[in-house]
Amino acid sequence: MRPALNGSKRIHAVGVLLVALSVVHGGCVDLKEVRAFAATASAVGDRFPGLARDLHDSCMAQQRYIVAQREDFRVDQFADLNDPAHPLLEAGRKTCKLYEDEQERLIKANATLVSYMKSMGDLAADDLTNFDKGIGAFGSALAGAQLLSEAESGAIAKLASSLARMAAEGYRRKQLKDVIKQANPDVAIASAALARIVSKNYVLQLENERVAMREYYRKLALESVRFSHLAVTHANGETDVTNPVPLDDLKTKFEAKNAAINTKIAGAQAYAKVLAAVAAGHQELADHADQLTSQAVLSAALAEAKTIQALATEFLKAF
Amino acid sequence: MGMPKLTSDQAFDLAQSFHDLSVEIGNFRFRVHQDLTPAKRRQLEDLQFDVLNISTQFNALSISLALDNLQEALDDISAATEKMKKAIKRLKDVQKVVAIATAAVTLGSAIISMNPGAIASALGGVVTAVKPSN
Repeated sequence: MRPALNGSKRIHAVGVLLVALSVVHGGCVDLKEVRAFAATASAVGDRFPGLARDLHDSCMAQQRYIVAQREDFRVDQFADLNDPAHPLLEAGRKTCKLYEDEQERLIKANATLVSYMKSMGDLAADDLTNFDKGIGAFGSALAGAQLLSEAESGAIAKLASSLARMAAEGYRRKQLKDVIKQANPDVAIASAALARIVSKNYVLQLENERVAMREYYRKLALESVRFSHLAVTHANGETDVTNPVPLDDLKTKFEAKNAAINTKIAGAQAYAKVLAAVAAGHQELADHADQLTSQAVLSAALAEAKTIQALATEFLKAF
Repeated sequence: MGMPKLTSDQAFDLAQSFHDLSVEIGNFRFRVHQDLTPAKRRQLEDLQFDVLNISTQFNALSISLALDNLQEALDDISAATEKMKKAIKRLKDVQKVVAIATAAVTLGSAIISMNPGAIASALGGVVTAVKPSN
Protein backbone atom coordinates (compact mmCIF):
# COMPACT_ATOMS: atom_id res chain seq x y z
CA MET A 1 0.00 0.00 0.00
CA ARG A 2 1.26 3.48 -0.82
CA PRO A 3 1.94 5.70 2.19
CA ALA A 4 -0.52 8.59 2.61
CA LEU A 5 0.81 11.96 1.54
CA ASN A 6 0.81 14.77 4.06
CA GLY A 7 -1.02 18.06 3.37
CA SER A 8 1.63 20.04 1.51
CA LYS A 9 2.89 17.00 -0.45
CA ARG A 10 -0.69 16.21 -1.44
CA ILE A 11 -1.24 19.78 -2.60
CA HIS A 12 1.99 19.55 -4.59
CA ALA A 13 0.87 16.24 -6.11
CA VAL A 14 -2.45 17.81 -7.06
CA GLY A 15 -0.50 20.66 -8.66
CA VAL A 16 1.38 18.17 -10.83
CA LEU A 17 -1.94 16.62 -11.82
CA LEU A 18 -3.25 20.06 -12.80
CA VAL A 19 -0.25 20.72 -15.04
CA ALA A 20 -0.68 17.32 -16.65
CA LEU A 21 -4.36 17.96 -17.22
CA SER A 22 -3.63 21.34 -18.80
CA VAL A 23 -1.35 19.59 -21.28
CA VAL A 24 -3.72 16.76 -22.22
CA HIS A 25 -6.92 18.76 -21.91
CA GLY A 26 -7.62 18.90 -25.66
CA GLY A 27 -9.24 15.57 -26.39
CA CYS A 28 -10.34 14.62 -22.91
CA VAL A 29 -14.00 13.81 -22.30
CA ASP A 30 -13.91 12.10 -18.88
CA LEU A 31 -14.25 13.66 -15.43
CA LYS A 32 -10.59 14.16 -14.53
CA GLU A 33 -11.11 17.92 -14.29
CA VAL A 34 -13.93 17.48 -11.80
CA ARG A 35 -11.65 15.18 -9.86
CA ALA A 36 -8.82 17.75 -9.95
CA PHE A 37 -11.17 20.50 -8.79
CA ALA A 38 -12.40 18.36 -5.89
CA ALA A 39 -8.91 17.11 -5.00
CA THR A 40 -7.37 20.60 -4.91
CA ALA A 41 -10.18 22.00 -2.78
CA SER A 42 -10.11 19.13 -0.31
CA ALA A 43 -6.29 19.10 -0.05
CA VAL A 44 -6.29 22.78 0.95
CA GLY A 45 -9.31 22.28 3.21
CA ASP A 46 -7.53 19.55 5.15
CA ARG A 47 -5.24 22.22 6.62
CA PHE A 48 -8.16 24.25 7.99
CA PRO A 49 -7.98 22.87 11.58
CA GLY A 50 -4.77 24.87 12.09
CA LEU A 51 -6.66 28.07 11.38
CA ALA A 52 -9.66 27.04 13.48
CA ARG A 53 -7.46 26.26 16.49
CA ASP A 54 -5.71 29.60 16.14
CA LEU A 55 -8.93 31.45 17.01
CA HIS A 56 -8.55 30.25 20.59
CA ASP A 57 -4.75 30.44 20.56
CA SER A 58 -4.85 34.04 19.33
CA CYS A 59 -7.38 34.91 22.03
CA MET A 60 -5.13 33.40 24.70
CA ALA A 61 -2.13 35.29 23.31
CA GLN A 62 -4.22 38.46 23.63
CA GLN A 63 -4.95 37.57 27.26
CA ARG A 64 -1.26 37.02 28.02
CA TYR A 65 -0.38 40.48 26.68
CA ILE A 66 -3.17 42.00 28.77
CA VAL A 67 -2.11 40.21 31.97
CA ALA A 68 1.53 41.21 31.46
CA GLN A 69 0.49 44.87 31.21
CA ARG A 70 -1.95 44.75 34.09
CA GLU A 71 0.75 43.16 36.23
CA ASP A 72 3.24 45.87 35.19
CA PHE A 73 5.57 43.31 33.61
CA ARG A 74 6.36 41.84 37.01
CA VAL A 75 7.72 38.59 35.63
CA ASP A 76 8.44 37.51 39.18
CA GLN A 77 4.70 37.67 39.87
CA PHE A 78 3.19 36.15 36.78
CA ALA A 79 5.96 33.60 36.16
CA ASP A 80 5.12 31.55 33.08
CA LEU A 81 2.04 32.86 31.32
CA ASN A 82 2.51 30.21 28.65
CA ASP A 83 0.92 27.85 31.12
CA PRO A 84 -2.74 28.16 30.14
CA ALA A 85 -3.79 27.05 33.64
CA HIS A 86 -2.03 30.02 35.28
CA PRO A 87 -4.33 31.67 37.87
CA LEU A 88 -3.75 35.13 36.40
CA LEU A 89 -5.27 33.90 33.15
CA GLU A 90 -8.54 32.87 34.81
CA ALA A 91 -10.51 35.85 33.43
CA GLY A 92 -8.84 35.47 30.03
CA ARG A 93 -9.78 31.81 29.85
CA LYS A 94 -13.43 32.79 30.40
CA THR A 95 -13.20 35.42 27.65
CA CYS A 96 -11.80 32.84 25.22
CA LYS A 97 -13.98 29.92 26.29
CA LEU A 98 -16.57 30.28 23.55
CA TYR A 99 -13.83 30.02 20.90
CA GLU A 100 -12.66 26.83 22.56
CA ASP A 101 -16.21 25.49 22.81
CA GLU A 102 -16.90 26.18 19.13
CA GLN A 103 -13.55 24.93 17.82
CA GLU A 104 -14.61 21.36 17.11
CA ARG A 105 -17.90 22.44 15.56
CA LEU A 106 -16.05 24.82 13.24
CA ILE A 107 -13.54 22.13 12.26
CA LYS A 108 -16.41 19.70 11.63
CA ALA A 109 -18.29 22.25 9.52
CA ASN A 110 -15.27 22.64 7.26
CA ALA A 111 -14.63 18.88 7.30
CA THR A 112 -18.19 18.30 6.07
CA LEU A 113 -17.45 20.41 3.01
CA VAL A 114 -14.05 18.76 2.53
CA SER A 115 -15.56 15.30 2.84
CA TYR A 116 -18.18 16.20 0.25
CA MET A 117 -15.49 17.43 -2.16
CA LYS A 118 -13.43 14.27 -1.60
CA SER A 119 -16.43 12.05 -2.32
CA MET A 120 -17.22 14.08 -5.42
CA GLY A 121 -13.64 13.59 -6.59
CA ASP A 122 -13.75 9.88 -5.78
CA LEU A 123 -16.96 9.43 -7.70
CA ALA A 124 -15.48 11.32 -10.64
CA ALA A 125 -12.25 9.29 -10.52
CA ASP A 126 -11.66 7.22 -13.61
CA ASP A 127 -10.02 4.42 -11.64
CA LEU A 128 -13.47 3.59 -10.33
CA THR A 129 -14.55 2.50 -13.79
CA ASN A 130 -11.28 1.01 -14.92
CA PHE A 131 -12.38 -2.50 -15.84
CA ASP A 132 -9.75 -2.97 -18.53
CA LYS A 133 -7.28 -4.94 -16.44
CA GLY A 134 -9.80 -7.50 -15.21
CA ILE A 135 -11.53 -7.88 -18.53
CA GLY A 136 -8.18 -8.16 -20.31
CA ALA A 137 -7.47 -11.16 -18.08
CA PHE A 138 -10.90 -12.47 -19.01
CA GLY A 139 -9.86 -12.41 -22.68
CA SER A 140 -6.56 -14.15 -21.88
CA ALA A 141 -8.42 -16.85 -19.95
CA LEU A 142 -10.72 -17.49 -22.89
CA ALA A 143 -7.75 -17.73 -25.21
CA GLY A 144 -5.94 -20.00 -22.73
CA ALA A 145 -8.85 -22.43 -22.81
CA GLN A 146 -8.46 -22.60 -26.57
CA LEU A 147 -12.21 -22.09 -26.97
CA LEU A 148 -11.69 -19.09 -29.17
CA SER A 149 -8.92 -17.73 -31.31
CA GLU A 150 -6.72 -15.03 -29.81
CA ALA A 151 -8.37 -12.43 -32.00
CA GLU A 152 -11.86 -13.58 -31.03
CA SER A 153 -11.16 -13.64 -27.31
CA GLY A 154 -9.50 -10.22 -27.60
CA ALA A 155 -12.55 -8.83 -29.38
CA ILE A 156 -14.91 -10.27 -26.75
CA ALA A 157 -12.80 -8.87 -23.94
CA LYS A 158 -12.80 -5.46 -25.61
CA LEU A 159 -16.57 -5.54 -26.05
CA ALA A 160 -17.11 -6.63 -22.45
CA SER A 161 -14.80 -3.84 -21.29
CA SER A 162 -16.71 -1.26 -23.30
CA LEU A 163 -20.07 -2.43 -21.99
CA ALA A 164 -18.89 -2.47 -18.38
CA ARG A 165 -17.32 0.95 -18.78
CA MET A 166 -20.42 2.43 -20.40
CA ALA A 167 -22.67 1.07 -17.67
CA ALA A 168 -20.39 2.32 -14.91
CA GLU A 169 -19.80 5.70 -16.56
CA GLY A 170 -23.52 6.20 -17.05
CA TYR A 171 -24.17 5.28 -13.46
CA ARG A 172 -21.53 7.51 -11.92
CA ARG A 173 -22.40 10.48 -14.11
CA LYS A 174 -26.06 10.16 -13.17
CA GLN A 175 -25.15 9.99 -9.50
CA LEU A 176 -22.79 12.95 -9.80
CA LYS A 177 -25.35 14.99 -11.70
CA ASP A 178 -28.09 14.34 -9.14
CA VAL A 179 -25.91 15.02 -6.11
CA ILE A 180 -24.29 18.15 -7.52
CA LYS A 181 -27.64 19.67 -8.43
CA GLN A 182 -29.19 18.81 -5.09
CA ALA A 183 -26.26 19.84 -2.89
CA ASN A 184 -25.43 23.06 -4.72
CA PRO A 185 -27.49 25.48 -2.57
CA ASP A 186 -26.03 23.93 0.61
CA VAL A 187 -22.48 24.04 -0.73
CA ALA A 188 -23.02 27.73 -1.54
CA ILE A 189 -24.37 28.45 1.96
CA ALA A 190 -21.62 26.50 3.74
CA SER A 191 -18.81 28.01 1.63
CA ALA A 192 -20.10 31.54 2.17
CA ALA A 193 -20.54 31.06 5.93
CA LEU A 194 -17.10 29.55 6.38
CA ALA A 195 -15.55 32.26 4.19
CA ARG A 196 -17.20 34.89 6.35
CA ILE A 197 -15.98 33.30 9.58
CA VAL A 198 -12.45 33.10 8.19
CA SER A 199 -12.22 36.49 6.51
CA LYS A 200 -14.15 38.51 9.13
CA ASN A 201 -14.34 36.77 12.51
CA TYR A 202 -10.88 35.21 12.47
CA VAL A 203 -9.28 38.35 11.08
CA LEU A 204 -10.99 40.48 13.74
CA GLN A 205 -9.67 38.16 16.44
CA LEU A 206 -6.16 38.59 15.04
CA GLU A 207 -6.70 42.37 15.04
CA ASN A 208 -7.75 42.18 18.70
CA GLU A 209 -4.58 40.23 19.47
CA ARG A 210 -2.65 42.89 17.58
CA VAL A 211 -4.16 45.69 19.70
CA ALA A 212 -3.13 43.92 22.93
CA MET A 213 0.32 43.17 21.49
CA ARG A 214 0.88 46.71 20.22
CA GLU A 215 -0.13 48.24 23.55
CA TYR A 216 2.22 45.78 25.27
CA TYR A 217 5.19 47.04 23.27
CA ARG A 218 4.07 50.67 23.50
CA LYS A 219 3.91 50.45 27.28
CA LEU A 220 7.14 48.46 27.42
CA ALA A 221 8.86 51.20 25.37
CA LEU A 222 7.59 53.94 27.71
CA GLU A 223 8.72 51.97 30.75
CA SER A 224 12.09 51.39 29.11
CA VAL A 225 12.57 55.13 28.50
CA ARG A 226 11.52 55.90 32.10
CA PHE A 227 13.94 53.30 33.45
CA SER A 228 16.73 54.65 31.25
CA HIS A 229 16.15 58.19 32.49
CA LEU A 230 16.18 57.06 36.09
CA ALA A 231 19.42 55.13 35.57
CA VAL A 232 21.10 58.11 33.93
CA THR A 233 19.82 60.47 36.62
CA HIS A 234 21.36 58.31 39.30
CA ALA A 235 24.61 57.99 37.39
CA ASN A 236 25.20 61.54 36.14
CA GLY A 237 22.43 63.72 37.42
CA GLU A 238 21.01 64.13 33.93
CA THR A 239 17.46 63.34 32.84
CA ASP A 240 17.27 63.76 29.07
CA VAL A 241 19.37 60.79 27.98
CA THR A 242 17.87 57.52 26.74
CA ASN A 243 19.58 54.24 25.93
CA PRO A 244 18.21 53.38 22.46
CA VAL A 245 19.40 49.75 22.41
CA PRO A 246 16.50 48.20 24.35
CA LEU A 247 14.05 50.23 22.23
CA ASP A 248 15.61 48.92 19.04
CA ASP A 249 15.28 45.39 20.36
CA LEU A 250 11.63 46.00 21.25
CA LYS A 251 10.98 47.37 17.78
CA THR A 252 12.47 44.24 16.19
CA LYS A 253 10.34 41.96 18.34
CA PHE A 254 7.21 43.98 17.67
CA GLU A 255 7.82 43.93 13.92
CA ALA A 256 8.36 40.15 13.90
CA LYS A 257 5.12 39.52 15.80
CA ASN A 258 3.23 42.04 13.70
CA ALA A 259 4.49 40.34 10.52
CA ALA A 260 3.37 36.95 11.87
CA ILE A 261 -0.14 38.32 12.34
CA ASN A 262 -0.08 39.77 8.81
CA THR A 263 0.93 36.36 7.42
CA LYS A 264 -2.01 34.73 9.18
CA ILE A 265 -4.39 37.38 7.87
CA ALA A 266 -3.11 36.86 4.32
CA GLY A 267 -3.53 33.09 4.77
CA ALA A 268 -7.06 33.52 6.05
CA GLN A 269 -7.99 35.78 3.16
CA ALA A 270 -6.54 33.23 0.73
CA TYR A 271 -8.64 30.50 2.33
CA ALA A 272 -11.77 32.65 2.02
CA LYS A 273 -10.97 32.96 -1.71
CA VAL A 274 -10.48 29.18 -1.91
CA LEU A 275 -13.98 28.77 -0.50
CA ALA A 276 -15.30 31.28 -3.05
CA ALA A 277 -13.61 29.28 -5.83
CA VAL A 278 -15.15 26.07 -4.45
CA ALA A 279 -18.60 27.66 -4.53
CA ALA A 280 -18.03 29.10 -8.04
CA GLY A 281 -16.71 25.80 -9.42
CA HIS A 282 -19.57 23.84 -7.88
CA GLN A 283 -22.09 26.35 -9.20
CA GLU A 284 -20.63 25.90 -12.69
CA LEU A 285 -20.97 22.11 -12.39
CA ALA A 286 -24.53 22.42 -11.06
CA ASP A 287 -25.56 24.83 -13.82
CA HIS A 288 -24.32 22.35 -16.43
CA ALA A 289 -24.91 19.09 -14.57
CA ASP A 290 -26.56 17.58 -17.65
CA GLN A 291 -23.41 18.19 -19.70
CA LEU A 292 -20.77 17.28 -17.13
CA THR A 293 -18.35 16.08 -19.79
CA SER A 294 -18.67 19.12 -22.05
CA GLN A 295 -15.41 20.89 -22.76
CA ALA A 296 -16.68 24.22 -21.41
CA VAL A 297 -17.73 22.77 -18.06
CA LEU A 298 -14.53 20.79 -17.64
CA SER A 299 -12.47 23.87 -18.51
CA ALA A 300 -14.35 25.87 -15.88
CA ALA A 301 -13.72 23.17 -13.25
CA LEU A 302 -10.05 23.10 -14.18
CA ALA A 303 -9.84 26.91 -14.01
CA GLU A 304 -11.26 26.91 -10.47
CA ALA A 305 -8.84 24.13 -9.50
CA LYS A 306 -5.95 26.29 -10.75
CA THR A 307 -7.26 29.28 -8.81
CA ILE A 308 -7.38 27.17 -5.65
CA GLN A 309 -3.88 25.84 -6.32
CA ALA A 310 -2.54 29.38 -6.70
CA LEU A 311 -4.16 30.47 -3.42
CA ALA A 312 -2.91 27.42 -1.56
CA THR A 313 0.65 28.79 -1.34
CA GLU A 314 -0.46 31.88 0.58
CA PHE A 315 -2.63 29.79 2.89
CA LEU A 316 0.11 27.22 3.55
CA LYS A 317 2.58 29.92 4.55
CA ALA A 318 0.46 30.54 7.63
CA PHE A 319 -1.10 27.15 8.41
CA MET B 1 -41.42 38.98 26.20
CA GLY B 2 -37.72 38.07 26.02
CA MET B 3 -35.06 40.21 24.45
CA PRO B 4 -34.74 39.56 20.70
CA LYS B 5 -31.73 37.42 19.87
CA LEU B 6 -28.75 38.86 18.05
CA THR B 7 -27.92 37.63 14.57
CA SER B 8 -24.41 36.56 13.70
CA ASP B 9 -23.95 39.69 11.56
CA GLN B 10 -25.15 41.96 14.37
CA ALA B 11 -22.80 40.27 16.85
CA PHE B 12 -19.93 40.78 14.40
CA ASP B 13 -20.83 44.47 13.89
CA LEU B 14 -20.77 44.95 17.67
CA ALA B 15 -17.43 43.12 17.88
CA GLN B 16 -16.00 45.44 15.22
CA SER B 17 -17.37 48.55 16.97
CA PHE B 18 -15.89 47.54 20.34
CA HIS B 19 -12.59 46.77 18.63
CA ASP B 20 -12.54 50.25 17.07
CA LEU B 21 -13.43 51.84 20.40
CA SER B 22 -10.62 49.94 22.11
CA VAL B 23 -8.12 51.19 19.51
CA GLU B 24 -9.29 54.78 20.09
CA ILE B 25 -8.99 54.47 23.86
CA GLY B 26 -5.47 53.09 23.42
CA ASN B 27 -4.41 55.89 21.12
CA PHE B 28 -5.84 58.44 23.54
CA ARG B 29 -4.18 57.00 26.63
CA PHE B 30 -0.75 56.92 25.02
CA ARG B 31 -1.23 60.40 23.54
CA VAL B 32 -1.92 61.93 26.96
CA HIS B 33 0.24 59.49 28.91
CA GLN B 34 2.47 62.20 30.40
CA ASP B 35 -0.50 64.17 31.66
CA LEU B 36 -2.18 61.30 33.47
CA THR B 37 -1.79 60.23 37.05
CA PRO B 38 -0.77 56.59 37.53
CA ALA B 39 -4.30 55.85 38.77
CA LYS B 40 -5.87 57.38 35.66
CA ARG B 41 -3.45 55.50 33.42
CA ARG B 42 -4.42 52.29 35.12
CA GLN B 43 -8.11 53.09 34.82
CA LEU B 44 -7.84 53.80 31.09
CA GLU B 45 -5.72 50.71 30.51
CA ASP B 46 -8.27 48.50 32.29
CA LEU B 47 -11.07 50.15 30.36
CA GLN B 48 -9.34 49.61 27.03
CA PHE B 49 -8.75 45.91 27.69
CA ASP B 50 -12.27 45.38 29.03
CA VAL B 51 -13.63 46.89 25.82
CA LEU B 52 -11.23 44.78 23.75
CA ASN B 53 -12.37 41.60 25.50
CA ILE B 54 -16.02 42.52 24.93
CA SER B 55 -15.15 42.72 21.22
CA THR B 56 -13.58 39.26 21.46
CA GLN B 57 -16.65 37.82 23.17
CA PHE B 58 -19.05 39.27 20.59
CA ASN B 59 -16.82 37.90 17.85
CA ALA B 60 -16.92 34.40 19.35
CA LEU B 61 -20.70 34.71 19.73
CA SER B 62 -20.94 35.71 16.06
CA ILE B 63 -19.15 32.48 15.08
CA SER B 64 -21.36 30.42 17.36
CA LEU B 65 -24.53 31.91 15.84
CA ALA B 66 -23.18 31.42 12.30
CA LEU B 67 -22.52 27.74 13.04
CA ASP B 68 -26.04 27.35 14.47
CA ASN B 69 -27.48 28.72 11.24
CA LEU B 70 -25.25 26.48 9.16
CA GLN B 71 -26.29 23.19 10.73
CA GLU B 72 -29.14 22.43 8.33
CA ALA B 73 -26.97 23.00 5.24
CA LEU B 74 -24.20 20.86 6.75
CA ASP B 75 -26.65 18.03 7.43
CA ASP B 76 -27.79 18.16 3.80
CA ILE B 77 -24.17 18.12 2.57
CA SER B 78 -23.44 15.11 4.77
CA ALA B 79 -26.46 13.34 3.28
CA ALA B 80 -25.19 14.14 -0.24
CA THR B 81 -21.75 12.81 0.73
CA GLU B 82 -23.29 9.57 1.98
CA LYS B 83 -25.19 9.23 -1.28
CA MET B 84 -21.95 9.52 -3.24
CA LYS B 85 -20.17 7.06 -0.96
CA LYS B 86 -22.94 4.53 -1.61
CA ALA B 87 -22.58 5.13 -5.34
CA ILE B 88 -18.81 4.60 -5.08
CA LYS B 89 -19.33 1.40 -3.11
CA ARG B 90 -21.74 0.14 -5.73
CA LEU B 91 -19.22 0.86 -8.49
CA LYS B 92 -16.53 -0.90 -6.51
CA ASP B 93 -18.89 -3.85 -6.00
CA VAL B 94 -19.43 -4.05 -9.75
CA GLN B 95 -15.67 -4.07 -10.25
CA LYS B 96 -15.36 -6.75 -7.61
CA VAL B 97 -17.94 -8.92 -9.39
CA VAL B 98 -16.04 -8.48 -12.67
CA ALA B 99 -12.79 -9.49 -10.92
CA ILE B 100 -14.35 -12.60 -9.36
CA ALA B 101 -15.98 -13.65 -12.63
CA THR B 102 -12.69 -13.14 -14.43
CA ALA B 103 -10.84 -15.26 -11.87
CA ALA B 104 -13.48 -17.99 -12.22
CA VAL B 105 -13.12 -18.02 -16.00
CA THR B 106 -9.34 -18.20 -15.64
CA LEU B 107 -9.65 -21.13 -13.25
CA GLY B 108 -12.11 -22.93 -15.54
CA SER B 109 -9.80 -22.40 -18.50
CA ALA B 110 -6.83 -23.71 -16.51
CA ILE B 111 -8.76 -26.84 -15.52
CA ILE B 112 -9.77 -27.45 -19.15
CA SER B 113 -6.15 -27.07 -20.22
CA MET B 114 -5.12 -29.64 -17.53
CA ASN B 115 -2.09 -27.55 -16.71
CA PRO B 116 -1.24 -27.99 -12.97
CA GLY B 117 0.86 -24.78 -12.85
CA ALA B 118 -1.91 -22.72 -14.43
CA ILE B 119 -4.52 -24.29 -12.10
CA ALA B 120 -2.45 -23.37 -9.02
CA SER B 121 -1.96 -19.85 -10.32
CA ALA B 122 -5.65 -19.48 -11.17
CA LEU B 123 -6.64 -20.69 -7.71
CA GLY B 124 -4.46 -17.96 -6.27
CA GLY B 125 -6.27 -15.49 -8.51
CA VAL B 126 -9.65 -16.63 -7.18
CA VAL B 127 -8.48 -16.28 -3.59
CA THR B 128 -7.26 -12.73 -4.30
CA ALA B 129 -10.46 -11.79 -6.09
CA VAL B 130 -12.81 -12.96 -3.34
CA LYS B 131 -10.71 -11.44 -0.55
CA PRO B 132 -12.66 -8.56 1.04
CA SER B 133 -11.19 -5.17 0.07
CA ASN B 134 -10.41 -2.56 2.72
